[in-house]
Amino acid sequence: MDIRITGSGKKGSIVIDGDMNIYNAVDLKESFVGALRTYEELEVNLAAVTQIDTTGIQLLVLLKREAGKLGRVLRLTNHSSVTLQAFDTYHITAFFGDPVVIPSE
Amino acid sequence: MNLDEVLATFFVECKELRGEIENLLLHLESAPDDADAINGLFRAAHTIKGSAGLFGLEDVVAFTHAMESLLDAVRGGQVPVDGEMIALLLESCDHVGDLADHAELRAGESLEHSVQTRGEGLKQRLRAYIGGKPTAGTAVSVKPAMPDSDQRSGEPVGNGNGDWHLSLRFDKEILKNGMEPLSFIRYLATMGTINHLVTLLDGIPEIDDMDPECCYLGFEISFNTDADKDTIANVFEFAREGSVIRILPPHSKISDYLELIQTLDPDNHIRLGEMLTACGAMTAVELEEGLRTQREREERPEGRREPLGEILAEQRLAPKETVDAALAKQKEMRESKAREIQYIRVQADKLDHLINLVGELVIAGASAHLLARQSRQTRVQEATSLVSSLVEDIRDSALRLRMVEIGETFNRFRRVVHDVSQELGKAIDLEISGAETELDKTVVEKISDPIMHLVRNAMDHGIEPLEVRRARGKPDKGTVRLNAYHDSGMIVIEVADDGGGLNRERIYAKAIERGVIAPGQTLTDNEIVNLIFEPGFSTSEHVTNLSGRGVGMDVVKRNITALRGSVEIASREGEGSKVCIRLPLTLAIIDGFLVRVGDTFFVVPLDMVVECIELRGQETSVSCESSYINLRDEALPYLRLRDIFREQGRRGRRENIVVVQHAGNKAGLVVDELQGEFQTVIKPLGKVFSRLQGISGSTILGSGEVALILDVPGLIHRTLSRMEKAPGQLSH
Repeated sequence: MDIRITGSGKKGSIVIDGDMNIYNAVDLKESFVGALRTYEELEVNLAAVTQIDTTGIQLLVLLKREAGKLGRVLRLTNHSSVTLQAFDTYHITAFFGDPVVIPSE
Repeated sequence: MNLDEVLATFFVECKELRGEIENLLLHLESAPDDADAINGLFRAAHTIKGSAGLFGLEDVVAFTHAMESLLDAVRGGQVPVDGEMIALLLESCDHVGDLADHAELRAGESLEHSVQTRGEGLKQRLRAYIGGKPTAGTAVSVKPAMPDSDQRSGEPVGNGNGDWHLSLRFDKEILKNGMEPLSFIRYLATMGTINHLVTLLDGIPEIDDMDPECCYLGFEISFNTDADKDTIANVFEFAREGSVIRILPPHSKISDYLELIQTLDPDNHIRLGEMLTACGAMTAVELEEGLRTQREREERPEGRREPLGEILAEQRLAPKETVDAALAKQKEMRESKAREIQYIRVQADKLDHLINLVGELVIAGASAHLLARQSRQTRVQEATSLVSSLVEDIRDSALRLRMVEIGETFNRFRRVVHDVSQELGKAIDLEISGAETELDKTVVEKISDPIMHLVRNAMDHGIEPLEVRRARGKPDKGTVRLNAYHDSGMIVIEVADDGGGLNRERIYAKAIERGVIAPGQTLTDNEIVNLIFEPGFSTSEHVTNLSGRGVGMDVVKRNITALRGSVEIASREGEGSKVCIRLPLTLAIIDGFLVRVGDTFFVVPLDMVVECIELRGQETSVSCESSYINLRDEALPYLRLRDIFREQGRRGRRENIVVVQHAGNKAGLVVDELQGEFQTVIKPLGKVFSRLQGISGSTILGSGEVALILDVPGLIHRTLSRMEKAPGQLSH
């Protein structure tokens, strides 16, 4: 997995490339927390997520919740199809409230 | 705990409860306003439903629900009890039995069509009794805030759409153990349809405390499937440890959901409420009302958060019935707890094992006693005799453990009499007496069928049709009587009727026709009527589906003889008949009286021994085979055991007579030596000896020798029949 955090001023962006699973959950959490404390407006690009499990979802939920608490903005964008499927299984797409593009397969 | 074992207990309990329902219904027949009985009925039906729900026996739940609804209406006074309703409820009770049997024996198979159709028909009739008001799922949508008679149509049922409700709180560690809740849910989706799913995110702790490798999620799932509870539970088999997995079957009570909520999320009622609505367990209106109240209270300064359940109940959003039911349940649990203290359920084989051990102890004790006597050491003798008397006490208590009152068995026949009298169109009452008489459980189990046959016979052939009864000046209603009492170590069970009695001529003619007796053979009246116990004998002119097929009385006799018992019938034409069954109280250990004839020891059951006297030559009178003595101016027939068993061994200095008694008849048994009382552990004789006459079993003496137990009833019968057949002799 590869996490790239870029940003300038208040706006930051995280791009996750690879698996969001239990094997890199600890790293992922650290990156997420760091980014959240740095930027007021954060975008997480999920386009390159190849696999996501419960730990990954939990971290996104955590991020969203903390952002709300701190009055910051968190957006999930470009959900990959595996991410959408997992969100769908857990019925939590609405929780994040992000616009989702449903792939036309 | 093994679910299967608990399930087995459920089936046993279900059977008992059905018996209770039957008894109460039959009681209601004579006292239709007995509130206690009605309440009892409701409770019994409710308990069956509740326990069945616990095991996911949907058919049973759905059906007992319909019964319960009607009973609730009866309890509330909306519907009066009448005969038709009792018949309907009895039929329903049978149906519940069929459903439970099905679940017990053919779990997993679908119900037979006929059973299903009958169930539907019964349900419709049950509903019709409440006045055509809909029950089950629809009861929920009736706005419960308005106390309406519709509410009484049954306990409110949540989840009207027939979904299972799953509450999952996984163990934190499962992710580390390589399990994935996503996969569980995806797998679940292959078994049915997940209609609603709410993921609980509130379990995720504060950012610093959160371990990203732990699982903090919980799920509430509304799931529609044909699978059974086991199959659903097995999905989570590997995640079970440390996780909370609650599975509520479809149509569970609202109170169950509330309870679920309270236990799973004590601090989180709002989400819980949402979940319930989302899953269709409660209606949105009910929930919104409850939540609003909760919010209002939170805004107050003292702001104590009240559990949603409380608020719902207070606002009557959870209908009163739910609360009542919960209270009744609590009370019931207390009662059953009290009952548990009085009774312990013990597996029968454990008890049998105990009895066997006691039997061995008795034998070993006898041997120790014998050795002590031979040692001639007073103190050893004293010690062993103390042990012996304790062993005797233990034996008695152990045997008493297996003693049950016959009343329960008798009560079962109320139903039989009720049903059969309707079938036959005869009005027949059952009178029961001596219900508290105790006998061994193994005997009770085996005696039920023979009694059943006798009762049916009495009703079918004994009690005459109405016109005949009137012509004979008898009351319109016939009576069948069951009675039990103890008599010389035996239990006597009587099945009597006030019907037409047996026709001697017809029996005699039939017996000759069937070759049971030779033409011209002279028989006493008593012997003639007892011919009906001979194989292949039926005198009924018409065969009904109840009895009269010619198989029966001989089977009854065979069954009873197998229990070392005897059966005879006394009958007066036009007045009725009485069948008398005599059975030993126990099949295991008895008090015996040990005697010696030649080199062989015999045991006479002590309860049958009246007295022992010395046999002196001058008082005897010998004629061909049979002998009798003058016992205090009474002719006492006697048998020489030496002749009967062809004993060749040494003779005693003088002979003694043991006077025995059975069924009101006395006889003397001539023996060489009296040895005294002896605790006898009955060892059944092998099949080879089953035809042996005069012997009913064997036992082992302290010395290791074998003693034979005399079949006293058989011997007395033999003595008496010889007396009767010897013309010119004294008759008894």
